[in-house]
Amino acid sequence: MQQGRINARTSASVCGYTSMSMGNKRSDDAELMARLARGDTTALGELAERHRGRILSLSYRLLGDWHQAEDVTQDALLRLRQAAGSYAPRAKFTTWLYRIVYNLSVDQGRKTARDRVLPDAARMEGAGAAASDSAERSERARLVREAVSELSERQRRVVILHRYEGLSHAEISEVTGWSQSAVESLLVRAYGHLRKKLRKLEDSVG
Amino acid sequence: MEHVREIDLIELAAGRLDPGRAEAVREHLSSCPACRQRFDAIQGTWTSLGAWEVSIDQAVPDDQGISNARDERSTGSRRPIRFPGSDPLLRVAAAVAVTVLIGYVSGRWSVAPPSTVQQGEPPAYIMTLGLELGDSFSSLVLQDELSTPEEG
Repeated sequence: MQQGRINARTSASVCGYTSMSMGNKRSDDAELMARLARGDTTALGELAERHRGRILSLSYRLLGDWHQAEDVTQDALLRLRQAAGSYAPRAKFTTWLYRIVYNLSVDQGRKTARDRVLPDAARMEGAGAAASDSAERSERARLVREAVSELSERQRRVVILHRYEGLSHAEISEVTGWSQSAVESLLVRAYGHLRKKLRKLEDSVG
Repeated sequence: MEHVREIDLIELAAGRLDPGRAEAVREHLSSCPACRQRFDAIQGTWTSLGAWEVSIDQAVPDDQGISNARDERSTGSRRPIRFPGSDPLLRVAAAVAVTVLIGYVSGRWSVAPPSTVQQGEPPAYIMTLGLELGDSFSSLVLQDELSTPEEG
């Protein structure tokens, strides 16, 4: 039903890191982990450079806060180092990494009791927002963020993993620990809610 | 063919449906206005969600995460530790206090201890030589030893 290949286009293109073939990357990542396990610490730097974008974007979307996302990113890199010795490339490296980042983000969200709190528009846009961004584009982004934030916690998480990180149902199941049928059910309900919430936006866009 | 399942329409909109299955769904959509309408709505939602872009440039401007990871590798610590005294004003005050303390201690060590010779008793070497202490010997008396008591 669903291809296992990750569509990295959506998240990679907007996050500033290069979209690469997951098939080619898998052996490279496993090799880097093996080097790290042998004590070659330069491998950690390479892994960090390669995956920092996806770690940051996922944790930011889950937490809604860049500072917390940065903490999660550093924790995730630390976990990579600690787990290098026991890492077995049974699954795709990125899926394994996503599970680490997801769990860290959920823990962080619980810790700070800010799971559902999204930052205000000014912070979300940030100083780095391109000057060319039109008001309409910002408004659309705000509407989407709000719509996603109003989903239930589980629906919000699967939508982020599916729509923005490009994970398949099986991968989402592996990352979250929920069954694949539960993931599909959550996705159907989530996109249904989003369709209603975003109808106004879609009408305005035409 | 039965109507297409919602999850398949979502995957078709995402472009991730298995090619064989995708072809069958498209064929059904071409002849089923109800499913076509559902698919159009899902595709619109999928497109709208793309408006929420995230740029990691907003996170940290200088790859701080990577540099921290590298620091962590070499030092074993996660982040540089900032002590409360790292404030510049406090550092200047601490430097002045340390300088004054060092000066005070150095001064204490450089000053000779006070003489233990009692007043009125001539130095031992004068007595050993069988001499009487007088004005003529006063220049031989070490400064820290007792000089001849003044008479009258």
